[in-house]
Amino acid sequence: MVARKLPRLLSLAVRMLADRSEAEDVAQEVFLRIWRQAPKWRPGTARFDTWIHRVALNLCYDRLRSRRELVVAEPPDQADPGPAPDQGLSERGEEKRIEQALAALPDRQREAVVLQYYQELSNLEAAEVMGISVEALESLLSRARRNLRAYLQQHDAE
Amino acid sequence: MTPDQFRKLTKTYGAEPRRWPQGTQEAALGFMKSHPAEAQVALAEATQLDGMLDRHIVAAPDSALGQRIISSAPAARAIWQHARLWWQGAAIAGLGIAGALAGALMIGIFRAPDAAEYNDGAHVVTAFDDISYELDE
Repeated sequence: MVARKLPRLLSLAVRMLADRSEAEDVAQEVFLRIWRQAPKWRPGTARFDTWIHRVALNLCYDRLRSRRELVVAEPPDQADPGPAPDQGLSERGEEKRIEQALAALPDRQREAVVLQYYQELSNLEAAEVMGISVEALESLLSRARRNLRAYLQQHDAE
Repeated sequence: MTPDQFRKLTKTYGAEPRRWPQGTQEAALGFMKSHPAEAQVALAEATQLDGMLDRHIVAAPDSALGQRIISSAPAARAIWQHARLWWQGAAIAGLGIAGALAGALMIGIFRAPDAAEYNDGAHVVTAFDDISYELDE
């Protein structure tokens, strides 16, 4: 099960958190919860895949919240607004730009894109994981894609 | 499907039909055939964003992470605890056996000689000393 589920869970957490180390911790915690809940699991109450997505997302939100609390309590050093020294030279530059565009999205929009686009859940499954209607999911998706496009165009122009 | 509905579909779900809701796929594919030019405009915009999203690749988890997760599983922990208990039991048993062997060896070294060897009535020997002189006296 670890071999089958870990890559998907890790991808979800990396895209939600934009931090691989934190994402690995989240993935590990998801498995601990799976094992803890396994004896109580009743088939038919919820799809297993839906449930583990929900668990992973809750853990990601916990981390995102604690990050915000940390930022409020202790403002970080001023970042250099200029381009990174290797920007444009690195092959990872483009990927980094997408990562930043995803990170700049409001959390629920990012969650919708990650579930529907990257995790390839159907609209019904993604809506179920998010606990919203399909119409609400579609609204989040179209706003997310519009914002992504705007972010990428703006950063292309700079 | 109207041109507006098709545009909305691609702006929401992207350009790939496999990502579209099942209930709309057939109608959308029909629209692409009947209105190729309009469909192309909507698809081009969505394809561009899809292409960018596809560039965000998450590297596969390394084996160390997989091992870390597997070793934290309750079953693995139970096996480990069971193995630890087994080894502790084996160690205690081993010490006991070693102690018994050492004791047997000590007895073998210092035990009294066979009584028959000296059973001549005048010669009584213990592990401590020859007490034949006491009997002689």
